[in-house]
Amino acid sequence: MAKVHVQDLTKEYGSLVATDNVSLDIGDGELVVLVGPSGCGKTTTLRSIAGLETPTSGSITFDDVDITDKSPQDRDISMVFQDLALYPHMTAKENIAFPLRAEDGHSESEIDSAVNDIAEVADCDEFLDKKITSLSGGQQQRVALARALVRRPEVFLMDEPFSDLDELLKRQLRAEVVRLQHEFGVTMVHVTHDQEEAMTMGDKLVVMNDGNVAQFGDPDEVFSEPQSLFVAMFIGSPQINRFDCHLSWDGDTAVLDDGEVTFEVDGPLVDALQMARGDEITACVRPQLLNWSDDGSGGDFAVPVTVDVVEKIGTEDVVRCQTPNGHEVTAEVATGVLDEGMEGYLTFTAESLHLFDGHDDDAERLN
Amino acid sequence: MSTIKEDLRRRLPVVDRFADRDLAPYLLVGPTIVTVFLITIGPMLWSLWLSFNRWAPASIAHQTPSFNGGANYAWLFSQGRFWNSVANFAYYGGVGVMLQVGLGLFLALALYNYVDNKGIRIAMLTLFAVPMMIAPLVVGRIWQLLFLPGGGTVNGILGMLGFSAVPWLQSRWLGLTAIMIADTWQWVGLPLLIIYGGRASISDTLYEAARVDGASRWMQFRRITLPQLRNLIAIAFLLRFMDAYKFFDKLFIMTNGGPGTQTELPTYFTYLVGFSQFNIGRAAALTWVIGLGSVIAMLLFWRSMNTEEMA
Repeated sequence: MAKVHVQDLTKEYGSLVATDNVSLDIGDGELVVLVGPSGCGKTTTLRSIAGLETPTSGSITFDDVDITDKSPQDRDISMVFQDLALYPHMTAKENIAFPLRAEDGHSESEIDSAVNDIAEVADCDEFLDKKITSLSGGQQQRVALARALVRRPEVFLMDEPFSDLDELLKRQLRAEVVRLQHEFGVTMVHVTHDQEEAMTMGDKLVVMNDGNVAQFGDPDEVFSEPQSLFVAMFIGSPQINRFDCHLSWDGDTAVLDDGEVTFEVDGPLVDALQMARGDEITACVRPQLLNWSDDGSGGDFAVPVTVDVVEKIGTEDVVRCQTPNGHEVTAEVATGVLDEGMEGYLTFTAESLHLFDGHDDDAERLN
Repeated sequence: MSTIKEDLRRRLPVVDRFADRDLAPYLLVGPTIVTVFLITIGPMLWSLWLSFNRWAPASIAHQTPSFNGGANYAWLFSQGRFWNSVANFAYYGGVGVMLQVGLGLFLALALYNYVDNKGIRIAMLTLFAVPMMIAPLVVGRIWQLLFLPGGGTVNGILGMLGFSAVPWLQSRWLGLTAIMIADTWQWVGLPLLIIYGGRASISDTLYEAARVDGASRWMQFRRITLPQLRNLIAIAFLLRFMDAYKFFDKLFIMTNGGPGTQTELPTYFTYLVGFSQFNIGRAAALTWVIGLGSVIAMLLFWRSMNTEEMA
C-alpha cells in the first residue's frame, strides 16, 4: 500500500503529446479511476505509473520515494492488461505463481499455498490446472486478477480489462474487483473509457481529455458539479442535454437564447453569468432532472417538445424528445408516463442548470 | 456422382460390372495410386528385398540378385568404416545442427532485441539469407580454399593473431569441424529466419506483464521466449537435421571422405559402396539401417517434445 503522487507528467511521442503536465494525488488504499475517451492519455498515465513508459518530463513518487527512473521490476506494482497478457503456454496455476517465482527466496510449498489462497479469494481455484487457452473469458479475467494480487503489491493497476466481456460478467467482475481492493486495502488505479464503470467503481475519478486532467474528484462531485463542458458531456448516461445559448441582458435579468428556446435567468445564477468572459454560454441539464408537464408549469424553465422515441430501461423510460425546430432533448422519467407523439413541456429548476463559459470542450463551469 | 458413373458406363463397358458396388471412385483415383506405388513404394520394397540379396552387377559372380539372408547386415555391422561414419554423423548431425540452431536463436534474438534500426535489421536478415542461395558445391569449394593449410585465409588470419597454423581438412575432427563451419556459414540463416519470425509474433504485452511481475531478463527468456518459440525451434532443428542426414556435397568437395576414410558420413559411405564398388545389396542394407535410424531418432525427438508439453 502506498500513496501515489504524479507530478507534471508529460509524455511526448515525437510531436504527439500523450499527456500534458498531468498531476495526481492518490491516497493510500484509494481506488482511483482514470476515465476518458480514446487517446485522452489515460493509458499513458497508467503505463507511466507502471514504469512501462518513460516520461518525457515530470516525476512519480510512491510514498514520497521517487521511482520515476525505476524499472517496473523494482516498483512493487502489479497490473492487469487490456488483453490480460496471461502466459499462454502455462496453466492458470503457473500464471498465478509467476510473480512469486520472479522473487527470490520462496520455497515451492510457500508458492503453492499462496497460489491456492489467492485462487480461492479470486474464485478461480476450480480451474487452476487448466491451460490458459482452454479457459473462458471470465475465467481468464479471474486468473489475471489472481496473478496481479498474489504478491500483495503496493499499487495495483488495471488497463480496461473488462472491455471485451458481456454486460453481466462485466458487472460481476467490477463488483468483485472492488471487493478485493477493499479486502486487501491496496492502492488501485483503474483505466476505462466507460463512464458508467468509472462511476460505479471509483472512490475518485480522474476525467481526462486531450492529455489533460479535466476534473479530479469523487463520483458524485464529478456528476453533479462538472467543472468543464467536456466533463458534463462525458459523464452521465443518458448524455446531458445541452443548449448553446447567446447571453443578453434585460436589466438585471440574463436572457439565454439558443435560437429557439429562451431561458430568463434571475436570482443567484445571475452572479455566475456576470463572470462570463463573453456572450457564448452553454446551458446544460441532466435528463434525470427533467419533469414532464402538459402546460409548462411546475418548474423554473420549460422547453416545448414532442415525444419522439421511448426507450424502456426497466423502472424508468429514457424519452427522446424534439423541440419544434428539431433540437433533441432527452429525459429520464417514470416508466409508462409518456408515449410517442405526445406534446407538452419538459421543465426543470434553476438549481439543476449547469452553465459553462463558451461552447468548447474546455469551457469552464460558471455556477 | 451418377452422371460420372453413367458417363463411364457409356465409355467403358467394364465399369458396368462394378457399377453396383460403386467402384467408380476407386477407378478414378486408381491411376494415381498405381503411379505412387510404381515410383515410391515399389522401389522402396524392392530395395528392402535387395538388402537381403547379394548383387554386384559389375562383378562376374553376382550379376543377378541372389538371396543371401542377413549377410549384408552382418557385413556392415562388422565394418569399422561403418561405425566410424556413424560416429562422424553423431558429431556432425548432433553438434553441428545444435550449433546452427543455437547460433540462429542467439542471432535472431540479438537482432530483434538490440538492433533498433529497422533498415539495419532487414539488411542483416537479408545478408544471413543470401548464402542459402549459393550452390552448396560452390560454398564447399570456397571454404576449401579458405581452409587451405598453407596460404588459406583462415590460417592467415589466425597467423596474424599469433596462432600457429591449423591443419584444417587434414584430420578427422578438424576436417569435420571445418565442414561444419562452412555449412553453418551457409545455413545459419534458416533457423535465424524461422526463429526471428517466431519472436516477432510474440505479443509485447507478455514481456510487459513479465516485467511488471518482476521477472529478470533471464527469467523472461527462460519462461516466456523459449517456451513460446519451442515448436519453431523444433522445426528448425528438424529441417537442419534432415539436411545433415542426407549431407553430401560439401563433404564430397572439401575432404572427399579423407584423410583416408576418416571423415566419411553414412550416406557418403553408402554412395561409395553402391556406386563406386557397385555392391547394390550392401548399399541397400546400409540405406535401410540409416533410414530406420533416422526414423527412430525422429520418433524419440517428437516424444520428448510431447512429454515436455504435458509437463
